Amino acid sequence: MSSQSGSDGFAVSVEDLSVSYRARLDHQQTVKSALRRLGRPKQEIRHIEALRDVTFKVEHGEFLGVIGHNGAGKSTLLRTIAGILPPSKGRIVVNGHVTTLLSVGIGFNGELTGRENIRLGGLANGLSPKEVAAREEQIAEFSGLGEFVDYPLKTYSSGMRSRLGFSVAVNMEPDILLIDEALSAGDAEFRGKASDKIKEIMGRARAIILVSHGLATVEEMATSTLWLDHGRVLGHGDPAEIINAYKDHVKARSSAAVTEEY
Amino acid sequence: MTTDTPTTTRIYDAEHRLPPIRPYLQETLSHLRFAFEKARLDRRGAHKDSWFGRLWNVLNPMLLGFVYWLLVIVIFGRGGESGLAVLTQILGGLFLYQLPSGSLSLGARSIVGGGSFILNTRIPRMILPISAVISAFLNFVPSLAVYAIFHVISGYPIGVELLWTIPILVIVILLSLGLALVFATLNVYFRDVASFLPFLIRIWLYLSPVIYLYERIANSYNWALIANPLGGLFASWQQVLFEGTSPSSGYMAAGLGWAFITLIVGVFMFMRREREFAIRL
Repeated sequence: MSSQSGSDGFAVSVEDLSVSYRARLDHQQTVKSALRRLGRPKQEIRHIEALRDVTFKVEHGEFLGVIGHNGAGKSTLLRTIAGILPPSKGRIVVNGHVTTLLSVGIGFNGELTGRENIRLGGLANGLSPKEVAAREEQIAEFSGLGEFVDYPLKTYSSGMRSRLGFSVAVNMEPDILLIDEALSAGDAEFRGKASDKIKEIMGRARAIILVSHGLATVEEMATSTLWLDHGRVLGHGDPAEIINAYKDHVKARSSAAVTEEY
Repeated sequence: MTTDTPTTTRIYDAEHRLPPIRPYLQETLSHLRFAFEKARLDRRGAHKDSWFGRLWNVLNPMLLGFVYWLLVIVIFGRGGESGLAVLTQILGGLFLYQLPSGSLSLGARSIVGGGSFILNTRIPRMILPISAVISAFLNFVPSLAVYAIFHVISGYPIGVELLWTIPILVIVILLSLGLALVFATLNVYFRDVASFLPFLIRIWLYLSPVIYLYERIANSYNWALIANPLGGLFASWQQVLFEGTSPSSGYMAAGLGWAFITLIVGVFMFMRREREFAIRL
């Protein structure tokens, strides 16, 4: 499993990617609204361009941190790489098994216990029931939830949820791990364990893409950084460099806003 | 992952065509275990807070059967037959009807209600309606045992012909899956479908030989039994259970034909639209 995947050696290649949503202004679709639209189609449809002409590559063993303001398209990028959202232009090539850890953790039925969610998460990732049984204890232990692992998910705090989600995802032995904001959740102790695990995954020549507002986390762990702004790439490269440019940009913008005000 | 080699390559591009059918269905089948586990766990959650718990899955159709029985015996005074025999007929029909009706209502909600699943995983979405049909089937199984008791007490024939119930069940399940796929897709685009569904289910119940015997329509409106996707199947069910004969080949053929048409329409409709679901929720 640790051998280099594909002949080119890259894990993810994003080429000229654009993603746009068609959002209807009246969100709930009913027969009535459909009938009203019949005569004049598309009037209520607004195109939201979440990503525009994004191009980059992630090599095996690379840890890419994705930064940018809220709504810059970071989560959309992860979902598109995971194959959840369809691109509207361009394409993505993914070499390897992808495990997603997107914002809501594993989030199956909240009535079910943590353990049952682990089981569902494993099966959802294509493990056989035997393999799931073999890893169940390991995942439960990694999560450090103690007896809470046998409580229904709805009794969990958001931090506990993300710990569980994170534990499931990293223990699926992914080739490519997509993480959305999950690291910042757990407490200091769990964060230490999590970053150890992530280093281990990277050591096995696997790729990680992390979306985070925690600039310190990105700077510390990422081997490269992608800066998104309104769906466009504003910078890609060395984490320290990009993060500094991003900080300057944010400062400039807020001072511009201040000067405009006065 | 177990079957994936490290060299699995996926390409996502902007062309909205049908995904390659064979790999898609293979991937769906490889997640059947997940669908089954999800159905099992969802069901356990469903009646968690009620006193009778999962007993409701049997109590529900039984009480409904009792209501229809009162209607038939007391209000309309259906004479000639013993009350118990009529009750058994009604129960036999209603229990089977749980399969299409449960699949329809659970299936229609499976995608719209599958929010975080759809936004955060990339498992073939077809797993969700499949899981809904499995739930409906698991709800149906215990009622079979209850029916068997009524069947014996009422003195209905017991013989090898009863084995015909198995192919009939298989066809009803295939048809139910097709219906679940069609309505899961429709409900994403028209949320009204879910509200309309209880009425469709009730009307379809009255139009099909579920609580009355198929002969009532077979004599004058046999075409209506054939034209109704459930008609031939429920007529066959009654022939096997209450007459102790093999089902008419015409009814079985009609049921099989409808099941295939519905399933194929459902699979293609669903697969064609699946990639849009994440944007539409």
